[in-house]
Amino acid sequence: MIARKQIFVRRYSSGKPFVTVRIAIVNLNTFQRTAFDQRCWVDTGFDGGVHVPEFRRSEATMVGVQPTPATVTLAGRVRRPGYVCLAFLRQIDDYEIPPPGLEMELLMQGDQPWGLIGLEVLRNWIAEFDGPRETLSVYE
Amino acid sequence: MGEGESLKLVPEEAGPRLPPQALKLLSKLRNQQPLTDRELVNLMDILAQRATEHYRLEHGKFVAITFDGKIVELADTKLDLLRRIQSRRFPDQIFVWRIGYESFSGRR
Repeated sequence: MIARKQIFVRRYSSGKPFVTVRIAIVNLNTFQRTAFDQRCWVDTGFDGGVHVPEFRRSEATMVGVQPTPATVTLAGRVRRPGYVCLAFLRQIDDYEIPPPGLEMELLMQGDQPWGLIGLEVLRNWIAEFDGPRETLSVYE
Repeated sequence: MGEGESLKLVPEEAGPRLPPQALKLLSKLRNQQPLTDRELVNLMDILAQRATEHYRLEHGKFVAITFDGKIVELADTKLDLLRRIQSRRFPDQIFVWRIGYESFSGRR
C-alpha cells in the first residue's frame, strides 16, 4: 500500500470541477516575471498543461515573452490557432507548489471566461473524482 | 530522422519548396493582411507537412518552424522545446508543431 498525502480537496457543483490556479510566466533571459489567477475547469480530455483565454497573452508580453503560434484541437475536433509559452503553476486552490512551481505548457486561445487544467498537469498527482459527492481530491 | 541523430539547423539553407496555396497565404501574412483562423491553421498544416518530408523528421518530435518552412529548433518533449525557444530570439516568426499530429495541444 502506497502512502499518499492529500494536498487539497474541492467541492464543486453542477457536475463541473472548477479550481483556481496561480500561473507565473518568467522571462528566462531577464528573469522578469508576472503572475495571475485563473479559474479553471479540470478537464481530463485536454492533453496539454493549462489553457487560458487569449487575452492572457498580454501577461506574457508584459515581461518580454512572446507566445508562439500553434494549432490546437478543441471539443468537436475543431482546430484553431492558439499561442503557447512555458509557464509555472504556482498554486492550485489553497495548495502552494514549492518554488519555482510546476513547469508546464500555457496555451492561450479563445475567449471563454474560464480556463482548463489538462493531463500534463494532472499526471503529477493522483486526482480522485467523487461524482455523487461532487468532490475533487488531489493527492501526491 | 532517427533517435540520436542530430539535425543540422542551417539558417541559410533553402528549406522545403512550398505549393502556390502556401505562398499565397504567406504573401498575405507578410503584407500584414489578416489571415482567418482557417487560413492560418491551413498554412501551418502545409508548412509542417513540407518540413516533415524535407527534413525527414521523426514521428512525435516537437519542432519550431519558420513561416518559410525551415526548422529552427527540435526537441523530444514539448516542455524541452518551449524552454529552448523561450530563451532565444528568432529573426523570423515561428510556430510550434508536433510531428505526425494535427495539433500541438488539445483533444486527442
